[in-house]
Amino acid sequence: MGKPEVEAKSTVSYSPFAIWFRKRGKRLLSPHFVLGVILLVILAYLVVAPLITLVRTTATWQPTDTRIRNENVVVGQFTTYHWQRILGSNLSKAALWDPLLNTLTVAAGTVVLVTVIGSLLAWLVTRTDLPMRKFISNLAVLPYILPSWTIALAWVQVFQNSKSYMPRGFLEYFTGITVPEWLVFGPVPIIIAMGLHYYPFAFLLISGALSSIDSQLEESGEVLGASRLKILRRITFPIVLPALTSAVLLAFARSIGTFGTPAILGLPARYTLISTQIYSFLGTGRDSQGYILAIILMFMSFVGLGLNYRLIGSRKSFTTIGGKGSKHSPVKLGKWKIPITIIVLVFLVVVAIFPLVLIGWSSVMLNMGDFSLSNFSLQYWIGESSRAYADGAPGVLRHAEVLGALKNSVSLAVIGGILTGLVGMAIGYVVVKERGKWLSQSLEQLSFVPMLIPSIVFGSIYLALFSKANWFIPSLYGTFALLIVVTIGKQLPYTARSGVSSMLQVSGDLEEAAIIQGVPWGKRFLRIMFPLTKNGFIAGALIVLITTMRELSLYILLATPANRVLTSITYRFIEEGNKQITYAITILLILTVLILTAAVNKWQKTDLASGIGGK
Amino acid sequence: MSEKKKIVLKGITKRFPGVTVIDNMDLDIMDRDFTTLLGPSGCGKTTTLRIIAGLEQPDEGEIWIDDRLVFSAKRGINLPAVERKVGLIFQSYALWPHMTVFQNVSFGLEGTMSKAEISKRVKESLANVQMEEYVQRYPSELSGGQQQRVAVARMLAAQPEILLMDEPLSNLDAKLRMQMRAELKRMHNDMNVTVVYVTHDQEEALTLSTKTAVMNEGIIEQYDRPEQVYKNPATLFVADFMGNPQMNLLPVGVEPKDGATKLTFDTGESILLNRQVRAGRHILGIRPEDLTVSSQPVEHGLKGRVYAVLPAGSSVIIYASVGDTDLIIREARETVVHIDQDLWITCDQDYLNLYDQETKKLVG
Ligand SMILES: Nc1ncnc2c1ncn2[C@@H]1O[C@H](COP(=O)(O)OP(=O)(O)OP(=O)(O)O)[C@@H](O)[C@H]1O
Ligand SMILES: [Mg+2]
Repeated sequence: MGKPEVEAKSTVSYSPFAIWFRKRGKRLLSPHFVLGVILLVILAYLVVAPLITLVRTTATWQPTDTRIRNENVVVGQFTTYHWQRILGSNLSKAALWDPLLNTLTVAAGTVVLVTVIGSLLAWLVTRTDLPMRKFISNLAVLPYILPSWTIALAWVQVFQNSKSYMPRGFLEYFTGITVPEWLVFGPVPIIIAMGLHYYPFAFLLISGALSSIDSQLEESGEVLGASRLKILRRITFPIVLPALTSAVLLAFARSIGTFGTPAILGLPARYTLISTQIYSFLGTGRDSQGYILAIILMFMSFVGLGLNYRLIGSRKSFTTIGGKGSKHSPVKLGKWKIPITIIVLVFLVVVAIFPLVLIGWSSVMLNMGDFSLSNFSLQYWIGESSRAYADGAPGVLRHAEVLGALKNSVSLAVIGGILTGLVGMAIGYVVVKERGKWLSQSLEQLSFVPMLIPSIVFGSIYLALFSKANWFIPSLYGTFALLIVVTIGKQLPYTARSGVSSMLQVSGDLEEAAIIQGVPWGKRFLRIMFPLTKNGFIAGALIVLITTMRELSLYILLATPANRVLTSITYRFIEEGNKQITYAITILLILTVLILTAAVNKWQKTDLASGIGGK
Repeated sequence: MSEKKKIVLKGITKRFPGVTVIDNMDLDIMDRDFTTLLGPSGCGKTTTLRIIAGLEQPDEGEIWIDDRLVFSAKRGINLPAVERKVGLIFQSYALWPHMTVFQNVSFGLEGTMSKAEISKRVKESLANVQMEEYVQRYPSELSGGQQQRVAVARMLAAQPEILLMDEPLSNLDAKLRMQMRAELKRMHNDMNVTVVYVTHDQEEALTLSTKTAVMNEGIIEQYDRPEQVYKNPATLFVADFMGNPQMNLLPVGVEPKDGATKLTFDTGESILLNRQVRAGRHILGIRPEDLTVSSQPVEHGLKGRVYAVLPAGSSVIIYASVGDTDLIIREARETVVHIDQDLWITCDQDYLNLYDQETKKLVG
C-alpha cells in the first residue's frame, strides 16, 4: 500500500516521550479526563481539605487552648490532650457518653417512626384503592419542605404549660390539661418531631420502589399459588429492601447530625445530643473537642453505611427492576376504606397543616399563652419598634435585618442550587464516561463524603479553612461566597447522585453520533448531554434550593452580621426567647420555599424523588 | 469492484479487561466494496466497526485509509472520525430525541458552512431518503423505518466516503427490512462510497454484500465473495454458520482410487469424487439443497428413512436418518414423501466440501 511520500512521512522517528505522549496523552487530554481532574481538585478542596483540617485540629493545640492552665500549650503542636479529655476524663460522661447514648436513643426511635409511617403511607398510596391518592401523596411530602424545627416549635406551642412555669400552650389554653414535663421536652418529643420531619424520605423512596416493581413478578408468584404473605416476604420485600435501607440510612444520618430540633426540644430539659454538645463546644472556642465528637458521629454514619452495603451489596440493582411499573390490581380496603382514609387525612392534617396554622396563629398573638381573639395583633409582622415587644425589634416585614436575610437566603438558595446542580451533572458525566476507572470511582466516593459530616461541623471547618487565604483562594471570611462554597460542598452528594443516574440514562451512542461528525466537546455537552439530562439537573438543584432555604446548622457559625440568612436570624430570636418573631420568620421562610418550589415546578415538571437519589 | 484498497487493517488487536475481543486481525477492504461483517453475537463485529470509525482504540496494529495511516498503536497515531471521512449508523440509530429531524441532520454541519448551504444540504439528504416532509417532527413521532431513514440522511449529509452501519435493519419488521435492503443497495450503487456493514443475519450478508467477512471470536474465518462463502465455506465454523437449514456434516473415510477419490460413509456405502483429495478421515459438508432424493433405489445412493417432512412454502425440507446420522434435504415443493418411507439420497459432486477433522479447514 501507499504512495511513497506518505510512507516516508509517517516513518519519521519520534522520541520515546513523544510516542508515549501520543499514546497515553490522548486519553489524558480527553475532555472528560480533564474535566474529571478539575472536579477532583475541586473535591479535594471542598471535601478532602476539610477532612484533614478536622482530624488535625483534634490532635493539635489551638489558639484558644492557651487559656488552659497546667498544660504546656504550644499552638500548632501535636497533643493528645483533647482526645484524653473527651474519652478518658471526668468530663467524658457529660461530654461524650451521655450525649452519645441520647443520640443513639433518639436516632433509633426516629428510624423506627420514619420507617413505619413511610412504608405504611407508601403502601397505601401505591397499592390500595385508597381515595385521593394523588392529594395524599402531595400532602405527605410537605413536612420535608418545612424547616426541620417547625414541628419542634409547634410542639412546644401545643404542650408547654403553666406547671412548668411556661406560657400556656394550645392544649392547656383550650382544655386545661397540663402534660408532664417529659412530654414537653426531652427524648420523646425529639423523636416524634424528627420522625414526622424525616418520614417523607422513606415515603418517597419506598413508594418509588413499590411502583417500579413489575406486577408480573408478584402475579407470577400468585399464579404459582404462593400466599399473599409469602409473596410479600419473598418477592416484594427483597425488592423494596434497598429503598427501605436507604431511607433508614438517610434518616439515621440526618437525625444524628441535626441541630435545630434537639436544641429547641432538648436543651430546656438539659437533654443533650452529640449535635447540641458540638454546638456548645464550638460556641465556647473548644473546636478540637467539638471535632472529636464530629468524628465519632461520622464514624457512626460510616458504620451505618457499611451495614447497608453488607445487607444490600450487589442486590442494589433490584430498585430498577422491571422499570415499566405495569398496572397493579390494587388491594381492596373494603370496609376499612373509610376509616383508613379518615385516619390518614387526620394524620396528615395534624403533622403537615396544623403546625403551620398554629405557628401562623402564634405569630399574630400579642402575648404568649393567650389564644383569644382579643390578643390578635400584627405587631410582630408590621409593627413599629417598641420597647414593650420583642426587645424593641420591629415587625419582620419592617425589620431591615430580616429582609436582608431573606434576600440573602433566596440568592443563596438559587445560586447554590444552580451551581451545585451543575457540579453534580459534571461529576455524573465524568463518572459515567470513565466508568470502571479510578477517576470515576474516586469522584463518586469523594462526592458522597459530605453526607457523613454533620452540617454544623461542616460549617465550622469551612470557617477555619477559608478564614485565611490559602493556595490561590483569598480569605472568604464573612463573604457571601463562603456561604455558597459551603452549600456546594455540603449538598454535593444529592446532585452528584442525581447527576450520575440521569447521565446513565443517556445512551453512549447519542454522544458518539456527534463525535463521529467531529462536533467539539463543549458543544456536545451543551447541546446534547445537557438538554437530555436537564430534568435530573433541575430535580437536584430544586432539592438543594429547598434544603438551603431551611438549613440552619450549616450556616449558624458562618453567617456574620453582614451576611445573615433567614435561618440563622431565626435561631438568634429563638435564643433570645422572642417567640412570635421566630414564628413570623418561620412562616415567611415557608412561604418563600413554597413559592420558589411552585415556580420551579411550573417552569419545569420535576420529580422530587429523583432529587434525593430515589432513582 | 475496484483494485484500490480503501481500508486496510493490519494486525489489529483489541483487549478489554480480561478478554481479547479482536485478535491480530488483517482485513483489506477495496474501494466501493460493500463489505459485510457477519458472525454470531459477541464475536466482535461492532468492536471492529467502532475501531474503523475511531471510536475505539485498538491495543495493537495499524489502520490505513486511502493509503494514509490513520491509526498506529506503535507510533501513537489516532486520527478522529472526521479526518477518516467515515459516517456511522448505530444499531439504535442514536437520533437526538430533543432535536427535530432537521436539527438532527444539520447539527453536525454547523460551523462548517453557511446557514443557507446547511439548509440546502439537509434538504438534499432528507430528499434522498424521502423524508423531506418530516423536517419538523421529533424522532419519537416517527416510525422505526422513518427513524432509520433520518439516521441515513444524517450520515450522508456530512458526505463521508466510508459508510459504516451496525445492524441498521435489525429493529425493523420483515417487510420493511426487505424494502430498506433494496434502498441501501441502490444507494451504494448510485454513490461513490465504500460500505462496511455489520450483521448477524446471513441472508442480509448474502443479498447485500460484494464481500463478506465471517467472524468468530475475534478472528476472521473467511473473507470472500458471498456466493463463494456460501458455496465453499473455508472452515467448519463457516460451514455450520452459513445456511438455513444448516449444512449436513458427516464423517467420511477418504482414500485415493484410480486418479479420483473414494468417500466411504459409516454405513458402508461409498461414492466416487472426480477430484483429488488428501486421504484420511474427514468431515463431509453438503448443503440440503444439493441433495436429491428418489423413492427408487439409485446407484451410489445412500439409503435413508424419512422421519419428518416440513413444507416450507417454496420448498420442502425432509429429515431422513441414514444409519445413525440424520440428513437434512431441501427439495422442490412438488416432491411427495411420507414419514417412515425409504429414500435413496444422492448428492451433487460439485458442491461437496471436505474438512480436516483436526484443523477444521477446507481440504477439498
Ligand atoms: N466496553 C467493553 N468492555 C468489556 N467488554 C466489552 C466491551 N465492549 C464489548 N465487549 C465484549 O467484546 C465482545 C465483542 O463485542 P461486540 O459488541 O463487538 O460484539 P458483536 O459481534 O457486535 O455482537 P452483537 O451481534 O451481539 O452485537 C463481547 O464479548 C463483549 O462482551
Ligand atoms: Mg454489535
